[in-house]
Amino acid sequence: MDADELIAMFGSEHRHTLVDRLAPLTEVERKKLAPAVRAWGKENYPDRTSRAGFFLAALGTLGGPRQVATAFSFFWGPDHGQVDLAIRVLRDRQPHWLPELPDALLAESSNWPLVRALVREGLAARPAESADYLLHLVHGVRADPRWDATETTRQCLERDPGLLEHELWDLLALETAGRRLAYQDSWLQKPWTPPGRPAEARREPTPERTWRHGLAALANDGVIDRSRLLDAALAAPLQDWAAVDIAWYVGLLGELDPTDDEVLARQQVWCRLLTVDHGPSVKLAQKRLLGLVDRLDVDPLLEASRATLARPDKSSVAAQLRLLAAVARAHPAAAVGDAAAVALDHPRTDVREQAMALLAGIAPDLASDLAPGMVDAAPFTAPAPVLPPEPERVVPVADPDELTELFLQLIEEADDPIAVERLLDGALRFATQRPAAAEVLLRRVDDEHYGALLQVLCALASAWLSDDRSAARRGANLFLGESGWLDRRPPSRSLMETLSLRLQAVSRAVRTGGAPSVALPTYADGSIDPADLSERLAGPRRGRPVPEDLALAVLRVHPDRLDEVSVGRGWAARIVARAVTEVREARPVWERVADVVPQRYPFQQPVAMVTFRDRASGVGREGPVAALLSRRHPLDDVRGDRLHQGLYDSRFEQALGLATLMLPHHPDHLAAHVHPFLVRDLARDRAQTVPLADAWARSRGPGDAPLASALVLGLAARDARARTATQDALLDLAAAGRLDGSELGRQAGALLADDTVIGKRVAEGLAATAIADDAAVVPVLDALAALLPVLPGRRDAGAFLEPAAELAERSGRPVAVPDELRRVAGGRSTSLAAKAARRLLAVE
Amino acid sequence: MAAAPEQIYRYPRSSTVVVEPAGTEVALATSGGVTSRGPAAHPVFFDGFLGHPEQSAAALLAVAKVARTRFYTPPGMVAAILRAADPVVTSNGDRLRFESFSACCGVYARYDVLPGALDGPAIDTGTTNVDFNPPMRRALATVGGLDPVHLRVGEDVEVTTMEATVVERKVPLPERWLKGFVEVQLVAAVSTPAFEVPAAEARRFLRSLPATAGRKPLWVVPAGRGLRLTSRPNPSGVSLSGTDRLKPLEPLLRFARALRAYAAPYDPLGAGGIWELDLDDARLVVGLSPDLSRGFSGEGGVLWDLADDATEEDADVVSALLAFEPRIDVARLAVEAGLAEDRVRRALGRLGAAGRVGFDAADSAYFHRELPYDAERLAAMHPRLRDARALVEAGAVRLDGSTGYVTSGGTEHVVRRTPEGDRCTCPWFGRHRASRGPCKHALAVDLERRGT
Repeated sequence: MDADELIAMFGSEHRHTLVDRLAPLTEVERKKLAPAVRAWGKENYPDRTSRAGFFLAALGTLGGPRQVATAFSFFWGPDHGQVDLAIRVLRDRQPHWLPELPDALLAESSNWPLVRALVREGLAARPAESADYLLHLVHGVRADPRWDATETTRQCLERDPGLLEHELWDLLALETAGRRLAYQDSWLQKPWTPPGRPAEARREPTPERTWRHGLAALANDGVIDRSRLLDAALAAPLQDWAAVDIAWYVGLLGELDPTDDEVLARQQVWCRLLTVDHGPSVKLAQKRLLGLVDRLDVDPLLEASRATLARPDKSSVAAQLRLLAAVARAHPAAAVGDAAAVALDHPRTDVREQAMALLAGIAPDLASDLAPGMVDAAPFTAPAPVLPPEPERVVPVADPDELTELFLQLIEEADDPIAVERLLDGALRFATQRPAAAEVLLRRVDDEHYGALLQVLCALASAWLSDDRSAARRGANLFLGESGWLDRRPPSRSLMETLSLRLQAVSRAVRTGGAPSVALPTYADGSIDPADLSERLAGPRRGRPVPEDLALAVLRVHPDRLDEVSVGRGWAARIVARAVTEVREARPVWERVADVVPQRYPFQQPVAMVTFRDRASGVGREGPVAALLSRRHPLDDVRGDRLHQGLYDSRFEQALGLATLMLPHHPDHLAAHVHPFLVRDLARDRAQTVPLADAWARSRGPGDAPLASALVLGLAARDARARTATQDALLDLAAAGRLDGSELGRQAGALLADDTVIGKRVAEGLAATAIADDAAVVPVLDALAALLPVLPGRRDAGAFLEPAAELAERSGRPVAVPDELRRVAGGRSTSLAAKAARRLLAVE
Repeated sequence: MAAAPEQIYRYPRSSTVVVEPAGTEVALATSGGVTSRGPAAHPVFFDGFLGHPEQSAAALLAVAKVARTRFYTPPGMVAAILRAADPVVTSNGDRLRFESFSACCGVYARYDVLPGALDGPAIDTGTTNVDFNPPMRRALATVGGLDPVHLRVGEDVEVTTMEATVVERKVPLPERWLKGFVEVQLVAAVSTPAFEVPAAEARRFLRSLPATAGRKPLWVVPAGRGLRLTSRPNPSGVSLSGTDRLKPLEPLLRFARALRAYAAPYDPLGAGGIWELDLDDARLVVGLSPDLSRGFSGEGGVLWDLADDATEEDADVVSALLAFEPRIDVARLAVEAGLAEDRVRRALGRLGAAGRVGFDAADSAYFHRELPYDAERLAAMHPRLRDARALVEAGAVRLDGSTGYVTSGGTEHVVRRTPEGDRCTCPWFGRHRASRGPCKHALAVDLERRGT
């Protein structure tokens, strides 16, 4: 038989003939046919029938398990209707590599039917090392792999009863099987419309086809051991598996619905379920044990309760306390009090109250012993504000060699903004000097660097050292936050554009021989001492300072000390004088702006945005100071693609860190500029705005609405690191007596009212801040008091009211409670919010 | 990339846990290692009762889980089913220590069963591998608080037909993994106590940790009556990168009496940390690398010590005097070895870098433990030192006063000596600065200076 003859038999009517013709072939003959079979597989995309012929030919001619697996990977593997002939081919051939074939095929789940057939027919051993044999069984057991097939799992398993003896139990004991079973079942438990099909093609749920239902039915009918199945289902939640692997088994237990006797026979295990991390497993155990409490051996239950009562979630702890109350009624002699006392350490007040109420009822002596410990008897005194220590002085780079090392460090990670400023200052001063390691640096800047800021620094290094003019100009027009496929330039007059233009100007100056450096901060908080600036302006210099740096230097002097700057005369003096005037004239009147901003393409959802406008901004000024201090049309910064500025820049966080040094004394202007990034971080897994929190903490001026709003947005960030950094900032501001709690609360109220932030995150952040430092107690209480009016009707009201009540009780400061909350407090509700409102009202 | 050398485990049978109404029988099979009498195929360490059974079962499961967990998966890596290294058990006579190391090379776990929890004599001292298989772990998870547990670590085995009885498993142990397992002890040795909180606060704090907080480290600092996270580097706090790496402690929280933390020498970029749960007659220790995405590498100044050949001879002398003691007495060793105490400490550091001693932060002392892996391989680790020696031997190092020039990879790197330490122009130093010890160029310059 030659290759053409073989391939001609791939059609369905010739399959049996194909198998017969393959049977007598020698290995040498098979090897001769193999290349043609392989080539056919690569070049064709067959229909189902010729695919079956190809599989048979592959098994009959290819030289090893890897080749067969590769050939099968061109299409899906043989399904149940084709495996019988495949087995015949292999039985006839008996290749020496047959024992290795299952492992090779299991890389693709679609090959499972053939692997199973090999094992079932005794042609190969069950793969011992690979869990895929079991995992692929979950879907592979179906004869009809289509999602809309009608066969049930039970029917599939009964068709291959050998699976019920070993594989099923091994599958149920496998760590990652649960998620696979859950995924398989999920398609059958919800309505589903095939992609691309009209709504009329929707398929209704068919829960009777799920694995859960099938196994339960088999157990109920005695086909499989029900007791063994119950044990397998109970064992899973006890394992140290991920929750995603456990959930399906809890559902199976629900489907099996064990009888009371079955639960009692396994009560030790059911009690152990009370100690696991998986919440639904705990709840299921509580529910079943509650119904049997008078028949249980209570000692294991009491022992296990200690773990349950230490859980952080209220619902399971409260349920456990109710279970213990039932135990106490059914078994008066049991040591329930000792177990319940664990809950007195719970972080939630309502849980502690419930525990104390239980103890008071069953163990009054124990309750009275423990009760005084619940009250913090120490009177509260707000600590006096403590001025933060003076920031460290910035030490300029001493020589070109040190500058080179700084470049080499920062082009890896530019995460220290002050170091970047030192680098810019050094580059301007040493622009005409060549360091010993110049070649090392030039070679490094040729490597790939990700992130616009790193590329800017590489361009600066080239500007300094490269003789190649094109290399020196490379990156000269880079804008921070730019992305290759979006608008390249940030919005005009924005913070990032101004910073980018400054960096470009410095690069140009370095390329053309350097310039006097005037903008290096004196201190690590980004500020310049007026005496330093005066000295820089007056001192001898070669060339003109970079104009952007002159403006920036003015911004870095505290506005109250601008009078101390000796401006001098000449070109630089005019720029400085104008900058000083613009700073003095900036007296913002902030107005909150909330709107929905369209994006570039119609299919993109508009984005809800919050920012601040300065109604008092002047128009017509173009300089860097005016650009930064003017916020007349803030939403222009976020229209279209501008919303995505920095989104795809892996170093945008570092660029923002550098940008904070542009406005060290204007925290509200900084906050207004960066609001879009803060809003974006509400949903990002990895925040980009963490350095901003450090900037807020450093700010020495009083903050207004934009700063307060920025802090609230930081508390609500999705990334825990950003939330933590914001809490740090709040603590620093509170310690220094600069945290305006009332404004913080007003802005939080506004952000809650328009659903910009997740209330729970804000509440937790405020509560954590107040716990961490007594200096934060009063401002946080003021903040909570200020946002009370927006709480009625909110599901997270309790999350704010409870810490408010605790802080009010602790500090003895009453707060004004809105009428609607008074009504809630006056009612009979036992909700967290109602209880907390009552506690607030009780503080006089 | 060359495949990692494989560790071959040969157990006479699988470990078993049999749970019955009268009690639970835990029989741990052992493979290889060293005892007080020398290398052994199947050491036997303990046969007696294990106190606080539910706590011990949960702790053993926690240690086993760390071994097969990858807390960080590099971008682009397909998460494969892990073939985890088996935990290691050391008998120090009066206590047992179960150790493991994560697949991502960033988390170390150790369960110390202290004298009060062992009811039975120590049969022998030494270190070996123990088999933790899925059926045994499943059964261990069902051990309740009131069931007595009988523990056997190893057993006398008459192996008549190896093929019939041996359970053999091969697990690749990359050098990075071995090095990390070893170097975490050195981090512990230079760590200092940072804070201790009672059980209730430990539960509150650990359960309040965010699920993920990125790779950049946060710091844990005392605040008010408890602990809090801060994003600011803090010399009095403990650096924490990857908050979910403390999850191994969670199953033991209900048994905890206190939580202690020890901080490695301060580094604003992040440093290692040792976290210890104080339990009933036991401790669960978790050691974390400075960064979620990397393991332990060069911390503790070990490379400088390893570059000094004088410590090699001292280490030989000291190692001959060790006898699997639970707490190595430096003063006594100094007398016995005829060495000054600081030389003994440096020798112990060198032995630690070869996996031959561990460090117990709670006791602030080394304990003798010989990791049951290829000794030659352990001794030859530390590729930076290896590469530094190669540079010196190739004549690639030139000294000019306090500056050194090292030609490597076609580039001449400059190593400058500053008051803050050596600084190099290589990208490795630019990225990591001094947080991971010296780069190979700085090491090479140091070796050249010493004429080594």
